[in-house]
Amino acid sequence: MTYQTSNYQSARVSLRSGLRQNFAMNQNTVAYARDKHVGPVASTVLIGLIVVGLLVLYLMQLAATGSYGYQLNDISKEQDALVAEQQDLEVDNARMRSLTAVRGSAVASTMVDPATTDTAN
Amino acid sequence: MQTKLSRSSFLLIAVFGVFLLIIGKLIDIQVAHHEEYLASANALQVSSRTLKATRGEIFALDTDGSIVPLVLNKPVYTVAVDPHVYYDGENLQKETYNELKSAIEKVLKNQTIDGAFDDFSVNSRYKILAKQISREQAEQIKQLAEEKDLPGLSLQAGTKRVYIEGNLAAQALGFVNYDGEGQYGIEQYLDKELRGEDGLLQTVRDVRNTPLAIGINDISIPAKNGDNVVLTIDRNVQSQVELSLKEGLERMGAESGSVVVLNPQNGEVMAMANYPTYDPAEYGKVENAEVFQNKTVSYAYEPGSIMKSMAMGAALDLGAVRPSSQYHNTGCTQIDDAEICNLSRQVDGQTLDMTGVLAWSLNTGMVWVLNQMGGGDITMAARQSLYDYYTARYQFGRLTGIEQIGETAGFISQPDTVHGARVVYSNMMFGQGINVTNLQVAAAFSAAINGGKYYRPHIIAGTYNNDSFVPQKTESPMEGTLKLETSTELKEMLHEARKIYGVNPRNDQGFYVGGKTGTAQIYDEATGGYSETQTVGTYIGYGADGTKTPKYVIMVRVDPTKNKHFNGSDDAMPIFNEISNYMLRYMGVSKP
Repeated sequence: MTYQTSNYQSARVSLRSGLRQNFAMNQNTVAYARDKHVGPVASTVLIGLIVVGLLVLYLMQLAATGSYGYQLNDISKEQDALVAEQQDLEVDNARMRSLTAVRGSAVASTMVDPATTDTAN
Repeated sequence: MQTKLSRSSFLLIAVFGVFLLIIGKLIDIQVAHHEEYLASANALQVSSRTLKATRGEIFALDTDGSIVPLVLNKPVYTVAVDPHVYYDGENLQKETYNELKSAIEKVLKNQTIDGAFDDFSVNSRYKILAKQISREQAEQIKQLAEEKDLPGLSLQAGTKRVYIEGNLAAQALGFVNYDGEGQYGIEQYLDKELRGEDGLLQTVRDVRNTPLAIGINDISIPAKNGDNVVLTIDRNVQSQVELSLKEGLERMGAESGSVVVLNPQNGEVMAMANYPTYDPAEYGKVENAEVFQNKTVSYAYEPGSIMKSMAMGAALDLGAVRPSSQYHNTGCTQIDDAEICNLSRQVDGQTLDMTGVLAWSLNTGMVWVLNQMGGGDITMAARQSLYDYYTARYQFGRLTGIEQIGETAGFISQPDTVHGARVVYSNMMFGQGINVTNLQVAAAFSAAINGGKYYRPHIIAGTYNNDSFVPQKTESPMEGTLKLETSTELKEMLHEARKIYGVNPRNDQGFYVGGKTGTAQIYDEATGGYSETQTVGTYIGYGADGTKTPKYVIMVRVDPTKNKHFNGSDDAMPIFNEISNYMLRYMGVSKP
């Protein structure tokens, strides 16, 4: 099993004489662990920033969802307008095919009543 | 050792304290006063809007069985304005107001409501300027409002009923009033089915009342539009029937009448006409509400001699008489204290068969037939038999169930009551002393000549939604109104009777047509008896094809007017003839 370590690992010194190849020439091979701590103020500020960040994220999602309402409303209005136009066209179409329209048409005006009618059988 | 509170600890405590305050306030708002704030927020943000269902449309049939529209919905708009926004304090902004006025009047001309711009009060937040304007006009107003930056204008969408064929079948259709309620005819009978169900949209809305897709308590129930209905009425037949009725009544100086055309093979109503009529689109202009009624189903009257065909059918079916039975016509006959005479005295003293009795419409002949039903007298058994045929078989005195408002069942006297006297039942043989409607007579007559099957008359063919026609479930007929052989005999007798009576052969042109005239006295309320000056003229008949299968039945009634007699042969029969000849050509009926 092999494992690889980062050059910037902040570990305690691990003296492996002769095994580590990644130290530069003349560099002190002893490295002391750095004591990094986050103080109470910093941690409070960090927590506050995280909370604010989450809140902003939440509000953004809410706003995004809310904006769908406007798109939906626009589409709904467009649909209503198209339905109204369709109804108008259906009425116009029906009127053109009505008995009154047929009787008043140019074709009907040239028709004459037959003098007599009878059937072949 | 004394411990000192470090600055960082102090800061931590302070921040912690502020957080506690905030959390405390949040608990107060979100827990302690949750309901109160929720109600307050909902009151401000949440609003409901009804999603109006579109009313179902009504269609009829055309020549090739195709479906054509009779009643459609047209989009219309109401223009309203908020007068308050045209004021600067208490002062009307004249320039903007005049721009609004000229813009509206330019588009709508004289369609605005009277005085729309007169009472333009600062306190008013809503004023209607015009109603039922077209979509094109609404678009023009919207455009002008945007161009001229006119504030406070709103356009509310709605629909209005449009009657494509004008006043065709007005009584059968009915109309929709201003409140959206169906009145009379199909519009009222099927109001629930045509109306549909409104939907509901309840959501959080923004300041402009735009619904937002947030909120866990949103309700979105789409509207369920009304069913589109197809009638059995053929618009071409209906048109011809209305024309023939109107012209016929005008020729004879009559003021009103009705016609029904039925398909005797299935009970479908092909036409239902009344005169006078009205335009359903302008129902508000009608002065006499009687014109709204469909008198083919709502007016019961004594039909006169057309009933002889049904009474004769009953007697033949019972075997009381044969078509060849002989009757010696005495002109008048005495039944108890009443003398019953024939209208026509031309064949007094002659001996006629049953076809002759029908042809000359002999009242005395029919009384003789009733005698034969009782074995030689007008017995209780004879009356009971006639009553059974009239009610249980011909369905008189009962509602047909036609899909129309205001149908009346009419009246038949019981054979064993004081009204069921021998005189009354004698009268019933020739259509007096009995109240029936046009539709009842047409349906009964259809059963009498179609082989004895009573089909319930109906006017609904089915529904037509999403371009898909779904036919109404057909009912099986009631069998055995008359035996098949009786029906065939009666049909032949009516055909011969029509020829005997002298109908011009050219009227029928060799087609197989039969029928019976009727002239009935009417009840005079003033005298409490029959009127001496007014009579109803009726005619019932059929047309059949080359195999003698009846294709249509036509029932005509000409109502009496003041001091005017109308009779079956001179007044009702010509109307029948005209419609019958049209039906023969229209249906392509073959000759025998």
